[in-house]
Amino acid sequence: MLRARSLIGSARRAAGVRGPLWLWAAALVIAALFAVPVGYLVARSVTEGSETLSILFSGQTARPLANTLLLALSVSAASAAVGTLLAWLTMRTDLPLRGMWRVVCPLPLVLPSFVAGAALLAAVSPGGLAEEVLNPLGLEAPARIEGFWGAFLVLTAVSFPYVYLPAAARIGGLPPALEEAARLLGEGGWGAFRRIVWPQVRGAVQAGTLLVFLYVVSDFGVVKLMGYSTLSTNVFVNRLYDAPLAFALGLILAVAALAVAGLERASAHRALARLAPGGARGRRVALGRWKAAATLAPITAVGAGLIAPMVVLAWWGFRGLAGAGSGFDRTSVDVAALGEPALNTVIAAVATAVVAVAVVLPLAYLTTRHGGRAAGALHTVVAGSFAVPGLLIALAVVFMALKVPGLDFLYLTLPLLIFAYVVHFGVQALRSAEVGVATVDRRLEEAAQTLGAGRLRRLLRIDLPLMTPALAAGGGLVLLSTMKELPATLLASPVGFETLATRIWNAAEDGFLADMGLASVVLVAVSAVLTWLLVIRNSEHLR
Amino acid sequence: MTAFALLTRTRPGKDRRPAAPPLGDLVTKGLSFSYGDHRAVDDVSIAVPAGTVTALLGPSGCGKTTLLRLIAGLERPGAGSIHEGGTTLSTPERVTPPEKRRIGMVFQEGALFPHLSVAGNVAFGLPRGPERGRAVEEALTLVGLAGMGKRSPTSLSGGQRQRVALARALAPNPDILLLDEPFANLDPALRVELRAEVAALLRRLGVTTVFVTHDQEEAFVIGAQVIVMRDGRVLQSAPPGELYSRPANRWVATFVGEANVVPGRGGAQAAETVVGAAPLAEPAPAACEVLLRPEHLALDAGDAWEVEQIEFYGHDTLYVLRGEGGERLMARAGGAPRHGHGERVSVRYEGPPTVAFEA
Repeated sequence: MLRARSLIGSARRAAGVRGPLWLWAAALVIAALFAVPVGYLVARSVTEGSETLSILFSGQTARPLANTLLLALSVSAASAAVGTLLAWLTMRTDLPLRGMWRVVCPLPLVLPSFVAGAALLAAVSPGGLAEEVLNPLGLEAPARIEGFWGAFLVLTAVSFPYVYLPAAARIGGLPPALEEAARLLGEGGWGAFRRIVWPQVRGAVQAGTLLVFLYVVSDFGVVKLMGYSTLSTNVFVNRLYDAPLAFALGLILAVAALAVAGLERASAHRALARLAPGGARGRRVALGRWKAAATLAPITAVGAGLIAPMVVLAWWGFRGLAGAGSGFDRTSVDVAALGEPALNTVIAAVATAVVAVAVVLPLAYLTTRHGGRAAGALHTVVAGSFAVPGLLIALAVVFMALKVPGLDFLYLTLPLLIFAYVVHFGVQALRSAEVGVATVDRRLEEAAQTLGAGRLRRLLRIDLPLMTPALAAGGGLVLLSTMKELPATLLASPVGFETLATRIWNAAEDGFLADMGLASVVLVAVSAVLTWLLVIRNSEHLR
Repeated sequence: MTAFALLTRTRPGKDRRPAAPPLGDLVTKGLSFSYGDHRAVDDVSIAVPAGTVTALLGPSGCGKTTLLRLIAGLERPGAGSIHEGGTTLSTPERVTPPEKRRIGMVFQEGALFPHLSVAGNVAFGLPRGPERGRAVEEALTLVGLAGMGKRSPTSLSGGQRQRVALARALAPNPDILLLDEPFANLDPALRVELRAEVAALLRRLGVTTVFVTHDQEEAFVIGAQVIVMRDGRVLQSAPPGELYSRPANRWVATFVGEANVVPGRGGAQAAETVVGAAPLAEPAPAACEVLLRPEHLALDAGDAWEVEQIEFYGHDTLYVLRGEGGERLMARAGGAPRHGHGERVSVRYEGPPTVAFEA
């Protein structure tokens, strides 16, 4: 008996498995659930046999894949340039109002990309703001912005903050002495940036750019609105009448996303190497005669990524409220009809946040307290599900409920939708929960133990109260993401279950612009509050 | 529970924990524990008599904290066992969990629950009931913090935090109290004050106590018995006076105080050394090293030694002397310096019988 235990013990140690067995059992079950959707996606593609496999390498997939890559690469490059430029301007130069710009530049994050896309379409639609503003000036408003350029513009405008945030944090954290030393050694301003600053900042820019790439590859709303054919739009369109094709495209999409996520992880480690913190109070680069032009940069970026879309949406929403039309009119709006989608959004998002936090807690204990390779692998499973586009996760769970015997009672139910959300966004809760677990000094638990407190009492009286801020932050992030998630909601929602996101989407597709505007303003307002509280306020570059 | 109950060790009626057997000695037998390949505790057998204070003394990394955690039930021994009176607390197969032992522990930085008030911390280990509030106040009074119950732990000074930690550990009236370097992070003056106070309190309460420290002075002030550990092993356990005057080996001799260990020729009653004859407490072999405490060396005018360095401490003076062969001796004498720099002196042994170690 004793020998058997020590044998098991040494086997566990060899596999990097440390910690109590019951915790492992819980964590394994949870990680397995997280792996289910992608597992089903792969299994189905393989077992459907030759059909899916032959499609995989046929011309049918080549064009969507090429389009996806073209768009993702273009947006990534543009975002990297814009994000880095803004980071340098706001952190290292005498740009006017730079303190305000540091707060404002990340704000386009609050705008779900499909809302920004819908706003652009609404602006140039007949009777839209573009006409109202341009026609009196004798200019012709563009009839329609669409396809590659439409998607490119919108996605760049809302995703450059993914580069801006890490780049600004990095540039802000660089000791100015480095740059000053270079200048004293005879290097010019540009030369100092290229030889000293850029090598230090490159890692952060790369990490941010990979996030943008992942974001674009996963995007569904903007490309669909702009009529640009990518992997995700083709998965969506084909899912009902050509499932094998949809699964083949989905597999390619998942592989692309996971590969990029892997790259991002590898580069993030390098970018995290910290320099001397704090000491960013050094000389600033004087912009001189470039000052006016430089000021235009943040104005343009934030204008395109936040102000203009919000003005357009608010304008349509206001027109609807003012009752420009009546009845079943695309410019009319029924405020009361917004109540139900808003309530549904809150229900789904809050339930998802609560479930996600509860579910990742055992994993967080395992990875933080006991570590080891095996625990790291479980973390990777959860993190990987975030990289896989929500569209695919929803596709997989819906088809599973439909096809796997015994699961049909879940088909298009709220629990199924929440399951898809939790799998997709669980890692946001996991990272925060890990921070939370790490903040609980183990000696506090030991002290409670010596005072007679059993496991449950320690959890309730010591661990949970101390972890509350971190868990709330993690739950908040999940809440925010869930509210903004479009494709998973479109695919996996119960029939008739409308959320703000799907209402905006349907209104935009059907041209009910006033409805869309109002719902968007509500969604963005809530999302803005959460983003400010959870993301921007805590960002390193503001310290 | 009242302070009177604490002082007389009567058991409160409303304690939810199982009634403990009569107090007994705390004993470990052949206890071992490893972190991976590192043997932190190696075949340790100690006995802490019921109602007394034992100091566990050793340099950092010697395994003393691990031994304490084993006693608390926070770690599972790889071999050996732990007993309290007739009860077996730990064996490699079965460990009574900490919450089922009647053990109080004070951690190095206090480990106060930051989200609970001072009173909330002290009440944590007490059963719910009308008596609780009074018991908390009494425990706080005991450590000199009466009326501070509403404060938050973060608003307290380091010394106050450790007092709260002590009150929290004492409040449930534990059979065994464990203290893990509780004063290590306090400034020196406060440490001296608090350790005297705690020593008096522990003696008064008569709780069986194990006190871990790396500070020899602290161990001597607090412990009725001092156990010296090094590299996971127990080197010696004895009352402070005996430990100081008759250390088991050269390492212990220098660890527990200033020491000259000089080569000598042993005999049945005395050893011949560079400072002449020194009486021995027990016979020593011919080739040996003799312990000469600096305060047992007396200086006279002479010429064998040169005063190389003088350190005046107010109550006494430490001389560093250099012999003709370059060897050095430390000598301590009360009062102000009576010999100047470079002065030549002679040295003789003037103290109780000392010990010699095999060379």
